[in-house]
Amino acid sequence: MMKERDWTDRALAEGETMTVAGLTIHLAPAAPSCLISGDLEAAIAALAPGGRSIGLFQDRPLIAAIRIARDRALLVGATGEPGWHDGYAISPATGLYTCFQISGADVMDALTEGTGADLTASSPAASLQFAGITCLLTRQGKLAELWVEAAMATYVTSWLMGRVPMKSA
Amino acid sequence: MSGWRHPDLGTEIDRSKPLTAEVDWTKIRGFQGDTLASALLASGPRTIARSFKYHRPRGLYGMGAEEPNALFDITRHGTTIPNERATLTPLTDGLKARAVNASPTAERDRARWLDLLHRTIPAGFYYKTFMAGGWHLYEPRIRAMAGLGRLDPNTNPPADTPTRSATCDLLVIGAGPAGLAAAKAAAEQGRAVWLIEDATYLGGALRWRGGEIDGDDWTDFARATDTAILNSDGRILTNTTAWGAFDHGLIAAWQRRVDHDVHWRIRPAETILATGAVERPLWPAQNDRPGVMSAEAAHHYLTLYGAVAGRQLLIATGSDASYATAAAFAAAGARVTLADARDVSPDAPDGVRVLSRQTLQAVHGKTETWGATLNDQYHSADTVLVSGGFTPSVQLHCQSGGKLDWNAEKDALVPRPGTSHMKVIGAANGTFGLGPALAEGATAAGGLAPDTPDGTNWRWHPARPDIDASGRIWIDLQNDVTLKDVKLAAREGFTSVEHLKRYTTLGMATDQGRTSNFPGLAAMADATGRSIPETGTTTFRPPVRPVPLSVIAGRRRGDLFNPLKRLPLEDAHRAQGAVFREYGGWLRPSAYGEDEAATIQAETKAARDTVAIYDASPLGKLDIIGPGAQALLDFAFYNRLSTLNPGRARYAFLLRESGIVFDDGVVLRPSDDRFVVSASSSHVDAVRLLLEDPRQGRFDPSQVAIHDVTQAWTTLTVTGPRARELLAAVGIDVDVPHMGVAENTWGDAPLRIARISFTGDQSYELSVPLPHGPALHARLDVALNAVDGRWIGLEAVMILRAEKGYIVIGKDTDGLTMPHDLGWGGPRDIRGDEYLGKQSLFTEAAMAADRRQLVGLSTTNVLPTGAHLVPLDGPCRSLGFVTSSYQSPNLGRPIALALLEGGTAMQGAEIGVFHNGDVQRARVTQACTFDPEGERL
Repeated sequence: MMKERDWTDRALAEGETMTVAGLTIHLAPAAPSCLISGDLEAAIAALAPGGRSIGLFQDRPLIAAIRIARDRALLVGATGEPGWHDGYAISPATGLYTCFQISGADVMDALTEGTGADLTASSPAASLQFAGITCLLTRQGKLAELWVEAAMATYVTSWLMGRVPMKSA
Repeated sequence: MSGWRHPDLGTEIDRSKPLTAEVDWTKIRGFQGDTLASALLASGPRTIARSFKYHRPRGLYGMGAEEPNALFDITRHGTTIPNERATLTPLTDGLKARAVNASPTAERDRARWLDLLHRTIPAGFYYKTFMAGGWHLYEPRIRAMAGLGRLDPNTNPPADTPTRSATCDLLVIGAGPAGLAAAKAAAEQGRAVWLIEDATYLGGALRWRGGEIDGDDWTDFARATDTAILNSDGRILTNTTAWGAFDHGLIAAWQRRVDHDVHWRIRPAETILATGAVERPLWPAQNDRPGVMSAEAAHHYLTLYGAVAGRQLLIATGSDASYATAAAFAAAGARVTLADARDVSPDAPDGVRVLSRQTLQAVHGKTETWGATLNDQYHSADTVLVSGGFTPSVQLHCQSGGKLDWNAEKDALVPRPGTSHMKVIGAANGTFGLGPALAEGATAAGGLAPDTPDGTNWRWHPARPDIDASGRIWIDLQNDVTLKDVKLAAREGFTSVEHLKRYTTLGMATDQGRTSNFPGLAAMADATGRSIPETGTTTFRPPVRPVPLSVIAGRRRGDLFNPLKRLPLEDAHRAQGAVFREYGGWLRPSAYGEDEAATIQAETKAARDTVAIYDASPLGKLDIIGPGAQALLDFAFYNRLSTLNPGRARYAFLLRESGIVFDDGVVLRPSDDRFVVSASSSHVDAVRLLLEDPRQGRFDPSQVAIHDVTQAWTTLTVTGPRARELLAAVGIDVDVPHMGVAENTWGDAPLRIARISFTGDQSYELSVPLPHGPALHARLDVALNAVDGRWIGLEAVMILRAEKGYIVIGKDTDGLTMPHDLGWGGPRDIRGDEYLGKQSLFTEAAMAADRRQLVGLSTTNVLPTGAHLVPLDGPCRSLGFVTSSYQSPNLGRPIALALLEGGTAMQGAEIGVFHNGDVQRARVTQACTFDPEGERL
């Protein structure tokens, strides 16, 4: 029987690192960020000059608009006043997503366990289903970045800690 | 005892590694590489199983997923898996197997007397027989007798089956000759090929039939294929079953490994299906006797495991394929008679007596086979091998939408090209024989056909069940369906194959009709005077063979099964003694104390007497931004929101097109171009999607944006008569009117204050960005102690809101509740413009006076939630039900909310509350029982 009061696992804390089954997982500190919608180019030009929009599993500069959908993105590294701004909307969203930075020999193995998306094929949006929930996936070099809504951070921590590494078949 | 182990044969066993297993408490021996089936066959016992319905003795029939008889509950290392086919179960040391449908053992089954009743229990007998007196009288006994294996309640297999996703250029399913040729040709072109094979080794029928390809033994060809695949960045998965074909070309595959199984999700650019075919049986009388086997299966056991099916074999066939089988058995030292149904047949192999134009009429035996009747003449035999042709394995083709065509020349239903996303080749496509299969496989992948001296396409004499034959003839061995049952179904009008399947159970269970669907279909066609294509086939659905639920579930079990959202302040609440429950997908404090009942009452009282704080962070926060925001909200909401002034808030409903209440909540308007929709915490995603529909389909999406920022904020609600005092102590300016909203700062953090109340007391929802949540919590906690307040959990909040008659959607409403049933008929009567659900609010049913309406109930004890409301006089019928019920510490009596038929007009009347057979009285009241004038707000 499910004992709902026994759920005592917890999420990684900001800045904390764990190593498990060929993976090193680090929870990045929350960077200033906001959701932008509408004219994304105008929003990026205004809020993060020189920044760019990135899609699925693409290399992320420190300031970047991670595309969530056709006309919506998570702007990381910058924020702005909430409301409507000449063709685009802003909502402050610092802390909305928790960023799991994942490295190690089993990174691709972990990612192919979590998602059926073809990570070798490009997609303009970084959204994907990972471990059954909607996340964003970017990378910095060989470091995979899994952006998870804050309330699901505990689940993703448990999922990563409990995963079964697979040796070559 | 007829099966035996050949001293030399057995290409896939290691005789240096003997193994011992236990079957029905009897030890059997085998070798590394054996299956349970091959070890049983070599060990000799004929009766290894009992049939499903009549408990007739049964023996091994097949070699793979088609096996209908040899089902066992298998225990390894303390874990029991029910209904495993012996043919697919690797033999391991210490394995324990118990035959299903048998007690105590298959050989000495106590229920074998059931066969004596066979005339009285034909198909469908229980539909007709167990009507008198009610099914419930018979059900327990029948259920105890029915079913196959037994679940061990102590078995708790580990949740360690990982899922892996993969893509490739070409996926080849099946590594028989056609599959190997296709995979090799594609890999040599540089394509990334994945090759999936159900068995441990590549080769398919080549493994037991052998063959020469490109001038060498077939094993060289298999090795070259292996090398080509690995060189082209491909992969070979053996012991892997492609069990389902799904949308967009997705193939699900179950890989069985020593360390742990793997569940694959493969999305190939192209798929080639080479899953072979299953040999059809023949249908003489008593064709279910132990010792009657598929000829191809017997050949398989002989070559791979050295397990010889018998010493005196009769092979009844109409197929070229059986001649190699006969030759192999003769070479192994068995006495072999081959009875061919055809006039003209290939040359007799050495040591084989061949009889032409033979019809197998009956098998003789009991718990083993003694002989058979051919053309009215008795022949002694301890084993009867049968071959009635082959049925292509087209399950995956059909699962992906593929159609079948009857091909009379091939005597089979074969895939119609272009109807599924995969190419079908080899025996699965009705192409039999080594040469044709290799050619078709290579061509499908754009290669050249390998060379082989065996270029003949197998031919066979079409065999069908004779519906006029006498004696008991089994069509479906697994489900004990006889030819008589099929004829009965036809007589009773169940002539569709789908009805035939449901009426007789033909084709159900673990073998999924691999050996029975075709003869059942053919017999029904014959019985109804139709052709096979006119009769049709049943629907193929995943999985193509049973897959353990632990594989499909993978690691999604326990905490990972249905993960809850967790509060950012969870640790802080735990530190204060909170106990948690799930509310709408969130794990939230239910109360702050282990004695939950007493704590809830104390928290509810404190919230009315002094001040209380609860964590309302899960409350939805959907930012609706832009010049088009108010038009969108006016359309989506039942209440008009364009008239809401900046700095104000309004309670509002969202309806479905049906007019049914979907959600409620407060909409804030912090500024002219920005609204915040406070969706119910469990409905946030659904509300966002409901708003997205008109945003994208009805309005200009470039003029309005929807941002779900629920999880970017921590919201703590301060409520109670001393709320202002507490907030003043922490330096928060609360000069906000009731139903007002203000955006201020708290230190360096933005702070949104919404003066809205779910408790009926003066309340302030304080929202700060997530990183500032802990600081706000800590500061409020200090101040809370100073004013004798307390943290309260959701259970106290539920009582407080029920005292006020405030509803919770889905609890105090159901799938029929409209806003006017809740006392909110105003917008329906006033609004002239269009809004979601409007048309449905004016139907006859929506306007009826006897709709179930929200009321309160006054009683002397706490009513059970869900109890039905009934009339006190007249016939008992449900007039509604109790939706919420609590003991109110502030009123000192129980309170309840209910949906009651015509409830608005019944104020002050008495009603019955029916629960567990008893009816008690309750008085209908207003829903609001505390501060009805709202003076405390």
